[in-house]
Amino acid sequence: MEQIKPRSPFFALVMSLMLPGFGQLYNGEVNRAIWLFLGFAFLSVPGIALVALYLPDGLMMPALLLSLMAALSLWLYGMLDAWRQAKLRRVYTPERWQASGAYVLVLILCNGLALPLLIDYVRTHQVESFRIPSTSMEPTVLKGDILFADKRYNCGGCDQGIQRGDIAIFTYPNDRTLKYIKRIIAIPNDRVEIKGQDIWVNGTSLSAQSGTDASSAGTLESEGDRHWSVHRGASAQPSVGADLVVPPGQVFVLGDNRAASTDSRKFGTVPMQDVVGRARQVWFSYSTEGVRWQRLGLSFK
Amino acid sequence: MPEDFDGLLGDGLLAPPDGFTHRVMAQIAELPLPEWRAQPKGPGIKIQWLAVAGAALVGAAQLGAFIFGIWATTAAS
Repeated sequence: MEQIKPRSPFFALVMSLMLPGFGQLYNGEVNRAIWLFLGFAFLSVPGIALVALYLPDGLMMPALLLSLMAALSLWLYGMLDAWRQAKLRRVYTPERWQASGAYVLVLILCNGLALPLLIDYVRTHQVESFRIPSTSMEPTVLKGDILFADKRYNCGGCDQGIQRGDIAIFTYPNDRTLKYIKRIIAIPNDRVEIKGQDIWVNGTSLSAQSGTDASSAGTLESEGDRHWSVHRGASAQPSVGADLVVPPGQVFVLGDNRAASTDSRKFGTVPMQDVVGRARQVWFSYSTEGVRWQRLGLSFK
Repeated sequence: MPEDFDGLLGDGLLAPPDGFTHRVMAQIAELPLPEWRAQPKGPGIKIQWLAVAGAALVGAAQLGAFIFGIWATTAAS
């Protein structure tokens, strides 16, 4: 004989707190549960990744905040809906599958397996956040910047290959637990010469067409149609001289703050397979004086 | 016998006579009602609530890590 088991509103709410849609599953609303879970999973991570990677610079920050708010709202809605629907089920006959084992299985599959795999995939292959604790890339990337890096870079099937002038994130060759951010100055088979403060790539000085960049009090360097400012550090020691050809499968990297950067002048070239992403856009920035609002949304071309 | 069934399948559905449903339902004196299940008491209910509270904490933490996972940062010097 079937048994009446009234739904507990509190129980339904707590279950939706654990996992969006879980309370609806407890209430017997399978379809609603599935759509709530899928909507939440999409809005939380892949939706934010899409916003971070594809939207124009000016729309990124508002869209990011909207996506986050939408995901949190959906989570909250799921809890309130589960509570309300459970209150309506004071006389409820559970389905045969509504047993504790089924709930534990769903929780493990969704919360313990699907969501962690999804976030891991997005962080490994789509977009990842990095915070900058050093001044080595100033004036382009400031200490205290937090930025999204595009991970669809330098990988099999990726549209974006490594180019000179890219701001790349790579595994530090001397300690593979650390990540470094530097500018790629030369690619395989390029000849790099460092004479004092001047950098020459394939016989062309990076500062050949340069002038002083008044906006950041730096020196302008260029490669093709790309330009960037560097701090040469007039009072610092002269740079170490070098003359080398970048080996196949390697890149030569330098920090824009030449006097305060540990880069290929110190640790040599970097294997291309260790380059894991390209800096794309600042989503937060702070210093001891507070938030640097003007840098939010700034993108690196 | 199989030929009979094949013949029946070819004939289509039988139409019930008028008032058939009414006559059948009139013969049913009472419908079995689902049984009320008594709520568990004693240490069982406490263990159940403890399990729910523990799972809620772990689940909510896991979910928070998921939502803010894309915002979690790695240092890049």
